[in-house]
Amino acid sequence: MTHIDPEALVASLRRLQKAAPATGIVHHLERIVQVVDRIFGYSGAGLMFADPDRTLRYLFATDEAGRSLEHAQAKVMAGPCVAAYMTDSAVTTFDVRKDDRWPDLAPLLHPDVRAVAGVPVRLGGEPVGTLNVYQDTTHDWEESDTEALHAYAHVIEQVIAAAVEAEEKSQLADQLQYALDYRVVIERAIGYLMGKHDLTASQAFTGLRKQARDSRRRVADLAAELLGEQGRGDPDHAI
Amino acid sequence: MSGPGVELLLANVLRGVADLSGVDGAALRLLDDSDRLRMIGATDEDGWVLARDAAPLSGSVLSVPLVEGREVIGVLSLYTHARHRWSRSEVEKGARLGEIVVVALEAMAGGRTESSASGQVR
Repeated sequence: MTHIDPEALVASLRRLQKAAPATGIVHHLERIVQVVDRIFGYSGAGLMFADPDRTLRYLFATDEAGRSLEHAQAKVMAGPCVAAYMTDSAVTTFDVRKDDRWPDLAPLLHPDVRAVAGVPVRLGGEPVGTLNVYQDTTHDWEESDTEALHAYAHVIEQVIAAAVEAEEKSQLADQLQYALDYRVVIERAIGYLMGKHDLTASQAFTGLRKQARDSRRRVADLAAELLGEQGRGDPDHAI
Repeated sequence: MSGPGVELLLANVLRGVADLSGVDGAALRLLDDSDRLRMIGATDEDGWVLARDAAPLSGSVLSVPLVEGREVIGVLSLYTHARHRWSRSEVEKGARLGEIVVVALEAMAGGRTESSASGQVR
């Protein structure tokens, strides 16, 4: 059973958020795929991702030979990686250049591309792309090979899911930060309106919010404006 | 959008790293925003003790630094319950798996998501 300390994790991610430049999901995927061939000793690796219309497209490859593999499959809409995506399972070939399943591929491939394996990358249980690796020699893929690739693809899935989650969290964090920054201003404005117009806190906030909405401004901006105008003696327009 | 929490995602990453390295478990310690090295998580109880106390197990441990840019941000520990002599290739593999963990952590830490009209990087 895996144990995670959420509080310590958040504190560490906060540190990392300050230290690391925001680079985005594509950069994360590029870095993680660059590691795959070094871990397994393959000649190269790449990622293909599906368009909204489920057409598999080239996203990234570690070298020119890998790029030819992905471009060729995207062009003829067939190949081991396309098959892995369509069947949502691992697909391998001993020598893609001589594989009868995809006769149109060979002329489009870099000479170094021989043995190929593709496994699906899933999000929410559905395939969204494929992780592809190739060898520059023929190769009999074993079950342990595809199991390892599935495990690697699963890690990639976590990175994608984390990026999706973090993107929303950062938006939430911005909103929370905004609320924190301006909470004091809003509370002061509510206090001012309560005293000025003999209102409850709820009535004062409701009035402030309505005025903000009607004038298409944020409550905090209106509150700041209201307090700024106190000195000039004309805050009443706020409610 | 709802989805699995970062704790679950990190748990999956640690489990995946342990599986990919062929060891019994993985543990993670990271520097927090006060520069304290904190235990973050582990794939099982032994790893939790290891992460918390840096205590020796009855088996063997391989610890690799996690580096972002030029800065060490934490430590990934891989461990076996049985005694094990780590080979050079295993140490190298551990370092590469550490790179993966850093990427996953950066994704979790957040930031803008790139958009590319073509969806292509190179």
